[in-house]
Amino acid sequence: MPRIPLRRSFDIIKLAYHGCNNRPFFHIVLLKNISKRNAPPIEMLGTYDPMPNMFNEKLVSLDVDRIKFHLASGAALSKPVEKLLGLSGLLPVHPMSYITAKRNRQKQEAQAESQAQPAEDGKSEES
Amino acid sequence: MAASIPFRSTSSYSTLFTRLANLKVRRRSFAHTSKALCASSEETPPSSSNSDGRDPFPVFVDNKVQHLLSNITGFDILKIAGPHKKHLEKPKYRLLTDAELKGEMTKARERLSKRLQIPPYMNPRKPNLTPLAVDPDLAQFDTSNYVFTDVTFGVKDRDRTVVIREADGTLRIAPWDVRDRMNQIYNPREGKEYLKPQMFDEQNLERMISEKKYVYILDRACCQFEPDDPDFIRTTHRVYRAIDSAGDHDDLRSTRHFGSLAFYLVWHKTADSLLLDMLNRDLSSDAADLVRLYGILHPQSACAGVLGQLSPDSGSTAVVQVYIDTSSTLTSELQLALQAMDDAGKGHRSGLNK
Repeated sequence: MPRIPLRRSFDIIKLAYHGCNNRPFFHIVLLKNISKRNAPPIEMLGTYDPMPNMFNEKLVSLDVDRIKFHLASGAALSKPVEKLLGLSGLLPVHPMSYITAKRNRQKQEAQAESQAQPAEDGKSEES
Repeated sequence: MAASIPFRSTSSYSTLFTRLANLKVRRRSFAHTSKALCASSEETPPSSSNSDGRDPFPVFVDNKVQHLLSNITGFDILKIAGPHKKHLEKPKYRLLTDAELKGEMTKARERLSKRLQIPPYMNPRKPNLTPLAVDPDLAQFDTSNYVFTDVTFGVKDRDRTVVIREADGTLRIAPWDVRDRMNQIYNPREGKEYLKPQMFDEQNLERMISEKKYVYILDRACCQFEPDDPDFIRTTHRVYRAIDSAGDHDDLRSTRHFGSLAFYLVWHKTADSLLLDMLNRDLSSDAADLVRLYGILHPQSACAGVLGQLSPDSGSTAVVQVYIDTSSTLTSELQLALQAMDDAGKGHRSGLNK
Protein backbone atom coordinates (compact mmCIF):
# COMPACT_ATOMS: atom_id res chain seq x y z
CA MET A 1 0.00 0.00 0.00
CA PRO A 2 1.53 3.38 -1.00
CA ARG A 3 2.07 5.53 2.02
CA ILE A 4 1.05 9.21 1.79
CA PRO A 5 4.00 11.27 2.97
CA LEU A 6 3.24 13.42 6.05
CA ARG A 7 2.94 17.17 5.45
CA ARG A 8 5.78 19.14 6.95
CA SER A 9 4.42 20.83 10.09
CA PHE A 10 5.50 24.36 10.98
CA ASP A 11 4.15 27.37 12.85
CA ILE A 12 2.42 30.05 10.82
CA ILE A 13 0.91 33.44 11.68
CA LYS A 14 -2.38 33.80 9.86
CA LEU A 15 -5.85 35.26 9.99
CA ALA A 16 -8.69 33.40 11.68
CA TYR A 17 -12.24 34.44 10.73
CA HIS A 18 -14.19 35.48 13.82
CA GLY A 19 -16.94 37.60 12.30
CA CYS A 20 -20.45 36.59 11.46
CA ASN A 21 -22.61 36.87 8.33
CA ASN A 22 -21.64 39.96 6.31
CA ARG A 23 -19.46 41.24 9.13
CA PRO A 24 -15.90 40.00 8.70
CA PHE A 25 -13.51 40.29 11.62
CA PHE A 26 -10.19 38.52 11.91
CA HIS A 27 -7.89 37.45 14.68
CA ILE A 28 -4.20 37.32 13.86
CA VAL A 29 -3.13 34.01 15.38
CA LEU A 30 -0.21 31.64 15.60
CA LEU A 31 -1.19 28.14 14.45
CA LYS A 32 0.34 24.98 13.05
CA ASN A 33 0.03 25.05 9.26
CA ILE A 34 -1.91 21.80 9.35
CA SER A 35 -4.54 22.91 11.89
CA LYS A 36 -7.96 24.17 10.92
CA ARG A 37 -8.49 27.89 10.31
CA ASN A 38 -10.41 28.52 13.52
CA ALA A 39 -8.65 25.91 15.64
CA PRO A 40 -7.76 27.03 19.16
CA PRO A 41 -4.64 29.11 18.46
CA ILE A 42 -1.23 28.56 20.01
CA GLU A 43 -1.20 32.30 20.63
CA MET A 44 -3.31 35.28 19.61
CA LEU A 45 -1.17 38.06 18.18
CA GLY A 46 -3.65 40.71 17.16
CA THR A 47 -6.85 41.58 15.36
CA TYR A 48 -7.84 42.99 11.97
CA ASP A 49 -11.13 44.71 11.25
CA PRO A 50 -11.48 44.99 7.46
CA MET A 51 -14.63 47.13 7.55
CA PRO A 52 -13.80 50.85 7.60
CA ASN A 53 -15.16 52.72 10.62
CA MET A 54 -16.89 56.13 10.59
CA PHE A 55 -13.51 57.82 10.11
CA ASN A 56 -12.71 55.60 7.08
CA GLU A 57 -10.06 53.66 8.99
CA LYS A 58 -9.40 49.93 9.05
CA LEU A 59 -8.13 48.97 12.47
CA VAL A 60 -5.29 46.53 13.04
CA SER A 61 -3.84 45.65 16.41
CA LEU A 62 -0.53 43.84 16.63
CA ASP A 63 1.26 42.30 19.59
CA VAL A 64 4.56 43.51 18.18
CA ASP A 65 6.87 41.94 20.76
CA ARG A 66 5.36 38.47 20.38
CA ILE A 67 5.21 38.73 16.58
CA LYS A 68 8.90 39.61 16.53
CA PHE A 69 9.65 36.70 18.84
CA HIS A 70 7.79 34.18 16.69
CA LEU A 71 9.30 35.49 13.47
CA ALA A 72 12.74 35.21 15.00
CA SER A 73 12.02 31.63 16.01
CA GLY A 74 11.08 30.78 12.44
CA ALA A 75 7.31 31.12 12.15
CA ALA A 76 5.98 31.61 8.64
CA LEU A 77 3.51 34.29 7.57
CA SER A 78 0.38 33.94 5.47
CA LYS A 79 0.07 36.38 2.58
CA PRO A 80 -2.62 38.66 4.09
CA VAL A 81 -0.61 38.94 7.30
CA GLU A 82 2.54 39.64 5.29
CA LYS A 83 0.67 42.47 3.54
CA LEU A 84 -0.59 43.90 6.83
CA LEU A 85 2.84 43.81 8.44
CA GLY A 86 4.27 45.39 5.29
CA LEU A 87 1.80 48.27 5.50
CA SER A 88 2.50 48.73 9.20
CA GLY A 89 6.18 49.40 8.55
CA LEU A 90 7.21 46.33 10.52
CA LEU A 91 8.36 44.47 7.36
CA PRO A 92 9.14 45.77 3.87
CA VAL A 93 5.99 46.51 1.89
CA HIS A 94 4.68 43.37 0.17
CA PRO A 95 5.22 43.41 -3.64
CA MET A 96 1.57 42.49 -4.16
CA SER A 97 0.52 45.71 -2.37
CA TYR A 98 2.48 47.70 -4.96
CA ILE A 99 0.86 45.76 -7.79
CA THR A 100 -2.64 46.28 -6.37
CA ALA A 101 -1.90 49.97 -5.92
CA LYS A 102 -0.71 50.27 -9.52
CA ARG A 103 -3.77 48.44 -10.84
CA ASN A 104 -6.08 50.64 -8.80
CA ARG A 105 -4.38 53.75 -10.12
CA GLN A 106 -4.64 52.51 -13.71
CA LYS A 107 -8.30 51.67 -13.23
CA GLN A 108 -8.92 55.13 -11.83
CA GLU A 109 -7.11 56.82 -14.72
CA ALA A 110 -9.06 54.77 -17.26
CA GLN A 111 -12.28 55.74 -15.52
CA ALA A 112 -11.33 59.40 -15.50
CA GLU A 113 -10.49 59.27 -19.23
CA SER A 114 -13.72 57.50 -20.14
CA GLN A 115 -15.63 60.13 -18.18
CA ALA A 116 -13.72 62.97 -19.81
CA GLN A 117 -14.19 61.69 -23.40
CA PRO A 118 -18.00 61.69 -23.58
CA ALA A 119 -18.02 65.14 -22.04
CA GLU A 120 -15.67 66.39 -24.76
CA ASP A 121 -17.76 64.66 -27.43
CA GLY A 122 -20.85 66.32 -26.08
CA LYS A 123 -19.16 69.70 -26.16
CA SER A 124 -17.92 69.29 -29.77
CA GLU A 125 -21.41 68.25 -30.89
CA GLU A 126 -22.93 71.29 -29.22
CA SER A 127 -20.47 73.66 -30.88
CA MET B 1 4.91 34.58 -4.30
CA ALA B 2 8.56 35.37 -4.66
CA ALA B 3 8.36 37.65 -1.65
CA SER B 4 7.36 34.90 0.72
CA ILE B 5 10.63 33.03 0.29
CA PRO B 6 13.05 35.53 1.86
CA PHE B 7 10.63 36.07 4.75
CA ARG B 8 11.16 32.50 5.89
CA SER B 9 14.85 33.06 6.55
CA THR B 10 15.42 34.02 10.14
CA SER B 11 18.57 36.07 9.64
CA SER B 12 16.88 38.87 7.70
CA TYR B 13 14.43 39.66 10.50
CA SER B 14 16.95 41.17 12.84
CA THR B 15 17.72 43.87 10.30
CA LEU B 16 14.11 44.28 9.26
CA PHE B 17 12.91 44.98 12.75
CA THR B 18 15.37 47.72 13.35
CA ARG B 19 12.75 49.70 11.40
CA LEU B 20 10.27 49.46 14.21
CA ALA B 21 12.94 50.04 16.79
CA ASN B 22 13.91 53.20 14.91
CA LEU B 23 10.29 54.17 14.82
CA LYS B 24 10.06 53.90 18.59
CA VAL B 25 13.26 55.84 19.08
CA ARG B 26 12.02 58.56 16.77
CA ARG B 27 8.81 58.82 18.70
CA ARG B 28 10.67 59.15 21.97
CA SER B 29 12.98 61.75 20.59
CA PHE B 30 9.91 63.54 19.34
CA ALA B 31 8.53 63.55 22.84
CA HIS B 32 11.57 65.50 23.97
CA THR B 33 11.33 68.02 21.16
CA SER B 34 7.63 68.39 21.80
CA LYS B 35 8.38 69.28 25.38
CA ALA B 36 10.87 71.85 24.19
CA LEU B 37 8.37 73.16 21.66
CA CYS B 38 5.66 73.31 24.28
CA ALA B 39 7.71 75.89 26.12
CA SER B 40 6.65 78.43 23.52
CA SER B 41 2.97 77.87 24.08
CA GLU B 42 0.66 78.99 21.31
CA GLU B 43 -2.42 79.36 23.47
CA THR B 44 -1.67 82.22 25.77
CA PRO B 45 -4.76 82.92 27.83
CA PRO B 46 -6.05 86.46 27.69
CA SER B 47 -5.24 87.13 31.32
CA SER B 48 -1.70 85.85 30.95
CA SER B 49 1.04 88.13 32.09
CA ASN B 50 3.41 85.17 32.17
CA SER B 51 5.07 85.92 28.88
CA ASP B 52 8.42 84.30 29.60
CA GLY B 53 7.03 81.08 28.05
CA ARG B 54 8.28 78.61 30.64
CA ASP B 55 7.01 75.03 30.79
CA PRO B 56 4.80 74.80 33.90
CA PHE B 57 5.04 71.01 34.27
CA PRO B 58 8.51 70.71 35.91
CA VAL B 59 7.53 73.49 38.31
CA PHE B 60 4.21 71.79 39.02
CA VAL B 61 5.73 68.41 39.93
CA ASP B 62 8.29 70.00 42.24
CA ASN B 63 7.89 68.58 45.76
CA LYS B 64 7.64 71.97 47.45
CA VAL B 65 4.91 73.11 45.07
CA GLN B 66 2.97 69.86 45.47
CA HIS B 67 3.22 70.18 49.25
CA LEU B 68 1.91 73.75 49.20
CA LEU B 69 -0.91 72.85 46.80
CA SER B 70 -2.06 69.89 48.89
CA ASN B 71 -1.87 72.09 52.01
CA ILE B 72 -4.23 74.71 50.62
CA THR B 73 -6.65 72.12 49.21
CA GLY B 74 -8.13 71.42 52.63
CA PHE B 75 -9.53 68.14 53.90
CA ASP B 76 -13.26 68.28 54.55
CA ILE B 77 -14.19 64.64 55.04
CA LEU B 78 -17.89 65.25 54.49
CA LYS B 79 -17.16 66.86 51.14
CA ILE B 80 -14.65 64.24 49.94
CA ALA B 81 -16.56 61.18 51.12
CA GLY B 82 -19.95 62.82 50.74
CA PRO B 83 -23.02 61.10 49.32
CA HIS B 84 -22.30 59.30 46.08
CA LYS B 85 -23.98 56.52 44.12
CA LYS B 86 -23.01 52.98 44.97
CA HIS B 87 -24.59 49.56 45.15
CA LEU B 88 -27.03 48.93 47.94
CA GLU B 89 -25.60 46.66 50.59
CA LYS B 90 -26.29 46.01 54.21
CA PRO B 91 -24.21 48.07 56.63
CA LYS B 92 -21.61 46.14 58.58
CA TYR B 93 -21.32 46.64 62.33
CA ARG B 94 -18.17 45.81 64.24
CA LEU B 95 -17.16 46.25 67.85
CA LEU B 96 -13.84 48.06 68.08
CA THR B 97 -11.60 49.23 70.86
CA ASP B 98 -10.56 52.86 70.89
CA ALA B 99 -7.17 52.02 69.39
CA GLU B 100 -8.72 49.98 66.59
CA LEU B 101 -11.18 52.79 65.85
CA LYS B 102 -8.31 55.23 65.62
CA GLY B 103 -6.52 52.89 63.21
CA GLU B 104 -9.65 52.58 61.05
CA MET B 105 -9.99 56.36 60.95
CA THR B 106 -6.40 56.88 59.81
CA LYS B 107 -6.88 54.19 57.15
CA ALA B 108 -10.00 55.96 55.92
CA ARG B 109 -8.16 59.27 55.80
CA GLU B 110 -5.36 57.71 53.74
CA ARG B 111 -7.91 56.23 51.36
CA LEU B 112 -9.67 59.56 50.97
CA SER B 113 -6.47 61.54 50.50
CA LYS B 114 -5.86 59.51 47.34
CA ARG B 115 -8.98 61.12 45.89
CA LEU B 116 -7.32 64.50 46.20
CA GLN B 117 -4.50 63.77 43.76
CA ILE B 118 -4.10 66.90 41.67
CA PRO B 119 -4.31 66.46 37.87
CA PRO B 120 -1.04 67.55 36.21
CA TYR B 121 -0.79 71.06 34.84
CA MET B 122 0.85 70.86 31.42
CA ASN B 123 1.26 72.75 28.18
CA PRO B 124 -0.78 71.53 25.20
CA ARG B 125 0.85 68.74 23.18
CA LYS B 126 2.04 69.44 19.67
CA PRO B 127 1.02 67.44 16.57
CA ASN B 128 3.72 65.36 14.86
CA LEU B 129 3.61 66.21 11.16
CA THR B 130 6.78 64.48 9.91
CA PRO B 131 5.85 61.27 8.07
CA LEU B 132 7.81 58.06 8.82
CA ALA B 133 7.80 56.98 5.18
CA VAL B 134 6.47 58.52 1.98
CA ASP B 135 5.73 55.92 -0.71
CA PRO B 136 4.03 57.33 -3.84
CA ASP B 137 4.16 53.86 -5.46
CA LEU B 138 1.73 52.65 -2.81
CA ALA B 139 -0.89 55.33 -3.52
CA GLN B 140 -4.44 53.98 -3.95
CA PHE B 141 -3.57 50.55 -2.50
CA ASP B 142 -6.88 50.83 -0.69
CA THR B 143 -9.64 53.38 -0.30
CA SER B 144 -9.31 53.58 3.50
CA ASN B 145 -6.51 54.35 5.90
CA TYR B 146 -5.05 51.56 8.01
CA VAL B 147 -4.41 52.22 11.69
CA PHE B 148 -1.89 49.90 13.37
CA THR B 149 -1.85 49.78 17.15
CA ASP B 150 0.79 48.07 19.25
CA VAL B 151 -1.02 46.02 21.88
CA THR B 152 2.06 44.41 23.39
CA PHE B 153 1.45 43.29 26.98
CA GLY B 154 2.37 45.96 29.49
CA VAL B 155 2.60 48.93 27.12
CA LYS B 156 1.12 52.02 28.74
CA ASP B 157 -1.36 54.19 26.90
CA ARG B 158 0.99 57.14 26.77
CA ASP B 159 3.85 55.01 25.35
CA ARG B 160 1.77 53.08 22.85
CA THR B 161 2.96 53.08 19.23
CA VAL B 162 0.11 53.89 16.87
CA VAL B 163 0.91 54.38 13.19
CA ILE B 164 -1.40 55.13 10.30
CA ARG B 165 -0.90 54.11 6.64
CA GLU B 166 -2.81 56.63 4.64
CA ALA B 167 -4.49 55.82 1.32
CA ASP B 168 -1.81 57.83 -0.52
CA GLY B 169 0.89 55.48 0.79
CA THR B 170 2.29 57.72 3.53
CA LEU B 171 3.14 56.06 6.84
CA ARG B 172 2.96 58.43 9.79
CA ILE B 173 2.59 58.48 13.54
CA ALA B 174 -1.13 58.69 14.21
CA PRO B 175 -2.50 62.09 15.21
CA TRP B 176 -3.41 62.53 18.86
CA ASP B 177 -7.16 62.16 18.40
CA VAL B 178 -6.67 58.81 16.60
CA ARG B 179 -4.30 57.66 19.35
CA ASP B 180 -6.85 58.55 22.01
CA ARG B 181 -9.55 56.60 20.17
CA MET B 182 -7.30 53.57 19.73
CA ASN B 183 -6.39 53.63 23.41
CA GLN B 184 -10.08 53.66 24.28
CA ILE B 185 -10.78 50.76 21.87
CA TYR B 186 -7.93 48.49 22.93
CA ASN B 187 -7.67 49.60 26.56
CA PRO B 188 -11.08 50.98 27.52
CA ARG B 189 -11.37 53.11 30.63
CA GLU B 190 -14.41 53.59 32.76
CA GLY B 191 -15.95 57.03 32.46
CA LYS B 192 -14.25 57.79 29.17
CA GLU B 193 -16.22 58.00 25.93
CA TYR B 194 -15.02 56.88 22.51
CA LEU B 195 -16.05 60.20 20.99
CA LYS B 196 -15.72 63.54 22.76
CA PRO B 197 -19.00 64.18 24.65
CA GLN B 198 -21.05 67.12 23.37
CA MET B 199 -20.86 68.55 26.84
CA PHE B 200 -17.41 69.93 26.00
CA ASP B 201 -18.66 71.87 22.98
CA GLU B 202 -18.40 75.61 23.43
CA GLN B 203 -22.09 76.47 23.89
CA ASN B 204 -22.95 73.50 26.13
CA LEU B 205 -19.91 74.21 28.26
CA GLU B 206 -20.95 77.84 28.70
CA ARG B 207 -24.44 76.72 29.74
CA MET B 208 -23.05 74.33 32.34
CA ILE B 209 -20.69 76.98 33.65
CA SER B 210 -23.60 79.39 34.07
CA GLU B 211 -25.34 76.62 36.03
CA LYS B 212 -22.20 76.43 38.21
CA LYS B 213 -21.59 72.69 37.68
CA TYR B 214 -17.87 73.27 38.04
CA VAL B 215 -16.85 70.08 39.83
CA TYR B 216 -18.90 67.94 37.44
CA ILE B 217 -17.25 69.49 34.39
CA LEU B 218 -13.77 69.17 35.84
CA ASP B 219 -14.28 65.55 36.97
CA ARG B 220 -15.62 64.61 33.57
CA ALA B 221 -12.74 66.38 31.81
CA CYS B 222 -10.25 64.46 33.97
CA CYS B 223 -11.88 61.18 32.88
CA GLN B 224 -12.18 62.06 29.21
CA PHE B 225 -8.93 63.81 28.35
CA GLU B 226 -5.20 63.45 28.84
CA PRO B 227 -3.79 66.33 30.90
CA ASP B 228 -1.88 67.71 27.89
CA ASP B 229 -4.87 67.49 25.55
CA PRO B 230 -5.66 70.98 24.18
CA ASP B 231 -9.33 70.25 24.89
CA PHE B 232 -8.58 69.50 28.54
CA ILE B 233 -6.57 72.67 28.87
CA ARG B 234 -9.21 74.78 27.12
CA THR B 235 -12.05 73.36 29.23
CA THR B 236 -10.34 73.51 32.60
CA HIS B 237 -8.90 76.98 32.04
CA ARG B 238 -12.32 78.26 30.98
CA VAL B 239 -13.82 76.84 34.19
CA TYR B 240 -11.02 78.27 36.35
CA ARG B 241 -11.55 81.71 34.84
CA ALA B 242 -15.31 81.46 35.41
CA ILE B 243 -14.77 80.40 39.03
CA ASP B 244 -12.32 83.23 39.59
CA SER B 245 -14.59 85.90 38.14
CA ALA B 246 -17.65 84.57 40.01
CA GLY B 247 -15.70 84.21 43.26
CA ASP B 248 -16.78 80.57 43.71
CA HIS B 249 -13.38 79.33 44.86
CA ASP B 250 -14.91 77.56 47.81
CA ASP B 251 -16.80 75.13 45.51
CA LEU B 252 -13.51 73.46 44.63
CA ARG B 253 -12.06 73.35 48.15
CA SER B 254 -11.48 69.75 49.34
CA THR B 255 -11.65 68.46 45.76
CA ARG B 256 -8.71 67.40 43.60
CA HIS B 257 -9.17 70.48 41.40
CA PHE B 258 -8.40 73.15 43.97
CA GLY B 259 -4.64 72.73 43.56
CA SER B 260 -4.91 73.07 39.79
CA LEU B 261 -7.07 76.17 40.18
CA ALA B 262 -4.59 77.78 42.55
CA PHE B 263 -1.65 76.83 40.31
CA TYR B 264 -3.39 78.26 37.23
CA LEU B 265 -4.23 81.53 38.96
CA VAL B 266 -0.79 81.98 40.50
CA TRP B 267 0.99 80.97 37.27
CA HIS B 268 -0.92 83.70 35.41
CA LYS B 269 -0.51 86.18 38.30
CA THR B 270 -4.27 86.53 38.83
CA ALA B 271 -4.53 85.00 42.29
CA ASP B 272 -5.65 88.19 44.07
CA SER B 273 -9.33 87.32 44.37
CA LEU B 274 -8.44 83.81 45.56
CA LEU B 275 -6.20 85.35 48.23
CA LEU B 276 -9.00 87.75 49.19
CA ASP B 277 -11.39 84.78 49.48
CA MET B 278 -8.92 83.00 51.78
CA LEU B 279 -8.46 86.06 53.98
CA ASN B 280 -12.23 86.58 54.22
CA ARG B 281 -12.59 82.99 55.37
CA ASP B 282 -9.85 83.39 58.01
CA LEU B 283 -7.60 80.82 56.28
CA SER B 284 -4.41 82.67 57.15
CA SER B 285 -2.02 79.73 56.73
CA ASP B 286 -3.56 78.94 53.32
CA ALA B 287 -3.10 82.58 52.29
CA ALA B 288 0.55 82.46 53.37
CA ASP B 289 1.06 79.21 51.45
CA LEU B 290 -0.44 80.82 48.35
CA VAL B 291 1.99 83.72 48.62
CA ARG B 292 4.91 81.28 49.11
CA LEU B 293 3.69 79.46 45.98
CA TYR B 294 3.78 82.77 44.14
CA GLY B 295 7.36 83.22 45.26
CA ILE B 296 8.35 79.77 43.90
CA LEU B 297 6.49 80.15 40.60
CA HIS B 298 7.85 83.62 39.90
CA PRO B 299 11.39 83.62 41.29
CA GLN B 300 12.26 86.82 39.39
CA SER B 301 9.43 88.86 40.95
CA ALA B 302 9.93 91.47 43.66
CA CYS B 303 7.69 89.44 45.98
CA ALA B 304 10.04 86.44 45.77
CA GLY B 305 13.02 88.64 46.60
CA VAL B 306 11.45 90.06 49.75
CA LEU B 307 10.11 86.64 50.78
CA GLY B 308 13.65 85.25 50.57
CA GLN B 309 14.88 87.87 53.05
CA LEU B 310 11.99 87.17 55.45
CA SER B 311 12.90 84.99 58.43
CA PRO B 312 11.41 81.47 58.08
CA ASP B 313 9.52 81.65 61.38
CA SER B 314 7.70 84.90 60.53
CA GLY B 315 3.91 84.67 60.78
CA SER B 316 1.49 84.27 57.92
CA THR B 317 0.33 87.89 58.26
CA ALA B 318 3.85 89.12 57.48
CA VAL B 319 4.08 86.84 54.43
CA VAL B 320 0.76 88.06 53.03
CA GLN B 321 1.77 91.65 53.78
CA VAL B 322 4.84 91.18 51.55
CA TYR B 323 2.61 90.13 48.66
CA ILE B 324 0.25 93.08 49.20
CA ASP B 325 3.17 95.50 49.24
CA THR B 326 4.93 94.15 46.16
CA SER B 327 2.73 92.33 43.63
CA SER B 328 -0.97 92.70 44.35
CA THR B 329 -3.50 94.42 42.11
CA LEU B 330 -6.32 94.52 44.70
CA THR B 331 -4.10 96.25 47.26
CA SER B 332 -6.74 98.11 49.27
CA GLU B 333 -9.22 95.24 49.50
CA LEU B 334 -6.51 92.78 50.53
CA GLN B 335 -5.15 95.22 53.10
CA LEU B 336 -8.61 95.67 54.60
CA ALA B 337 -9.27 91.94 54.70
CA LEU B 338 -5.90 91.26 56.31
CA GLN B 339 -6.57 93.97 58.87
CA ALA B 340 -10.02 92.56 59.64
CA MET B 341 -8.62 89.04 60.01
CA ASP B 342 -5.87 90.27 62.31
CA ASP B 343 -8.31 92.24 64.47
CA ALA B 344 -10.66 89.30 64.69
CA GLY B 345 -7.77 87.05 65.71
CA LYS B 346 -6.63 89.51 68.39
CA GLY B 347 -10.17 89.99 69.69
CA HIS B 348 -10.61 86.26 69.85
CA ARG B 349 -7.32 85.84 71.70
CA SER B 350 -8.07 88.63 74.22
CA GLY B 351 -11.54 87.13 74.68
CA LEU B 352 -9.88 83.86 75.59
CA ASN B 353 -7.54 85.57 78.06
CA LYS B 354 -10.45 87.06 79.97
